[in-house]
Amino acid sequence: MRSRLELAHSWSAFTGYLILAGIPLLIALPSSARVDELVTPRLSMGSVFLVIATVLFAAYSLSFGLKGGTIKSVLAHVLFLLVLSLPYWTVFTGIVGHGLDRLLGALGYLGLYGACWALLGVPIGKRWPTEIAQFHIKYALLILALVTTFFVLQPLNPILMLSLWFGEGPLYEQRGFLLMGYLSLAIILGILVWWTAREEDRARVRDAPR
Amino acid sequence: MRRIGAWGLVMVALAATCGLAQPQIENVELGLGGRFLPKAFTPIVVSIRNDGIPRSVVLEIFQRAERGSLERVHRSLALGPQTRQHLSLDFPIKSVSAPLEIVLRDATGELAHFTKDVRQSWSESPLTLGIALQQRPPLAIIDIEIEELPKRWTSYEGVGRIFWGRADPARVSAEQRWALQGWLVRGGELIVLSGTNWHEQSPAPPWWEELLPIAEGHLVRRNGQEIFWLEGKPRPQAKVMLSPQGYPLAWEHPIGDGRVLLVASDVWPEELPLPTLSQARPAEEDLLIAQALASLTIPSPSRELIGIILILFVVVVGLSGVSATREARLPFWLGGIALALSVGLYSYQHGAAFSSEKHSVEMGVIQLVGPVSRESYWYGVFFQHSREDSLVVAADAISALSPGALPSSQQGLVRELTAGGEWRISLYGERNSTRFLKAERLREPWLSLRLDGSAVALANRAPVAVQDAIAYSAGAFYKLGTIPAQAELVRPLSGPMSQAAWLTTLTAERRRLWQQWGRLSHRTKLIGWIEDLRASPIGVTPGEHRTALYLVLVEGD
Repeated sequence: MRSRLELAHSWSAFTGYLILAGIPLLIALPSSARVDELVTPRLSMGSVFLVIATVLFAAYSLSFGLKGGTIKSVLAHVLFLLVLSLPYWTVFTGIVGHGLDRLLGALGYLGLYGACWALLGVPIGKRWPTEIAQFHIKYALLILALVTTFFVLQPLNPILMLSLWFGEGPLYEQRGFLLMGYLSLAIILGILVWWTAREEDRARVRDAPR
Repeated sequence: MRRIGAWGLVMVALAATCGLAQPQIENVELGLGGRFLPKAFTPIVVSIRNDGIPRSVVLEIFQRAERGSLERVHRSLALGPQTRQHLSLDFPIKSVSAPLEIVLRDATGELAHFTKDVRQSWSESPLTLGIALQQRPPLAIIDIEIEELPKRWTSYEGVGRIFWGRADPARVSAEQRWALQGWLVRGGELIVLSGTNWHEQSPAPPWWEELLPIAEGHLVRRNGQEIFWLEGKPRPQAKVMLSPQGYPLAWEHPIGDGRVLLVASDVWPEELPLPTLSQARPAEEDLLIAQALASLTIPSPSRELIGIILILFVVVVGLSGVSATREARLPFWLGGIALALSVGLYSYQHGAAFSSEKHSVEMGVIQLVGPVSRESYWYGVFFQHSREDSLVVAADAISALSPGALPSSQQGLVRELTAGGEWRISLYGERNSTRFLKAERLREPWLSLRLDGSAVALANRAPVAVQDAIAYSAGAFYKLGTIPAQAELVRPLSGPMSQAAWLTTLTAERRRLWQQWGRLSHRTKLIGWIEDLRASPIGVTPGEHRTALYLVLVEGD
């Protein structure tokens, strides 16, 4: 695993994620209400939680990669963040009235998405080691990817995909779209794992005592 | 040989043509005498010819209205080969500008499409029908034969008044009789012109005799006039409406919300004004169900409990960071806590108390009037989550409502008549939306009572109990308690109380229902309540939480 300093940084990411995503979730929690109050249109804090929790998950996953480390340690951090956020997503699933199948489907996608960003962060972190450069690159990439995938390559947009999972419509009508999203992420992740592993091997050979 | 081959080919071609021939909608007739009242159920007769192979098809009727939800009626049909079918059903024509569309389809798609223009056929006021009239009143009357009288009470919805002339009531079939009685109970006005028509009208079957305001009717000539007048013994509830020169010329007999007028001569007396017909049902009737649904509280998992648990979890995660960074490894036990917490939260949120996907309220008024039990049900549903919904409704008429007090979804609605005679209502409920329906049916009376001095004999043939029943006699209320399901019993009439005292015993919901639909007259015999969902004509669907309340009113002579 990582050093104490790195884990302290990761821990602030875990806690920060839970606090930032938790605030809209707490506001979105429904209370028993009369029907006439419920049918009145209002801003859905549930949607706000969905967007914040998804975007932050990608951002923190990328941060894990930027800090460097082995594939195993980077992916373990992403998985740990996913597990820590599990109570949130469970509560959110209850708010929108869906079951375990949709929760697992959405988390599967989110995990894959975060893992891709985390592994993408590894070479970026090595190429631009300064924090300020990493900051600029991280958010530029995230914004570019999120905005672009609203128009092209939509199966790679986590907000669209999670909106489908936690949305109102039947999923069977969108199964092609969903399948494309999972397959795309799986392929990207496979390539990134292979490439990162190759780089790790090369670095090991390069750094080995002659 | 060549000729045989050619004939063979012709025969094959003919057979193929027959097989490929599509069913056709030959004609569509609507209304009574070609006229209809907008928004009321209108009888529609569709003539279908099938020259091809036997087919299972669906007949669909709809109207593309500019406003409001699209309502469709479906009916499955089995078309035999080389047959012609005439299918009759009732459909509410809501727009007078959009044509009525009738489509025949099967699994492969649309087979036939018929468009019926309705612009020239509508009437501003309820229709007035005339049967075998010799002397016509100065009104716009649609003449029809007895055989053309509707067989369903719903077909009468656009009819306000019927003049009955020289026609034998014995020619009315059992179905037509039921429909006519239902129409009367719901507010219809039957005017029987007797006089010389009496020879044809009498002797009449018992059901007809019971409708008339007088018994033992017979014709007389008065003061040496040539005109025949009817005389008879007025029934207890009948009243004389006009009596020039001291002789009754017209009697009235109330039947439910409607009435039967009997005129002693075969001419409508000019001195007796007829009220202008209007659509009887005021829209305010529907507001109560909207108010009841609006005030329904939808239970949710405790916001405070979940909030505190999540905050505590974040605190634990934050604090555990101290030990985690000291050991320089990810604390997997924290992952275990997160998993356990998730399982607990999931179980709590999906518990039985919060599992309903839709919450509904149903209110009903069951009026047992003479030969029929007239039942009206208002149904309001709140969809907590979006879902395709399918309701099975055992009623004669179903209509979508927009009460106005709550925004109602504008999504379409499909009514499908099943083989069992029930309706299957298909609709899509959006998340946090409401829908309203009204169902009506007429049944044989299932509760009877006989007041006998200081006791009342009751017979309840329904599978549900009538609760907190009250007998009404001579201006006083008598507590009868619960009348069990399928039971016959005798209860004493003791401890009379006033109406004000009785009203104080009602719950808020019952009082609201009584104030809206309750009515007290000298004909009222019993008031009771049912809260059992088995009394509902609207089937409960999985994931539905429904509260129901029905008012039972028994009236009699």
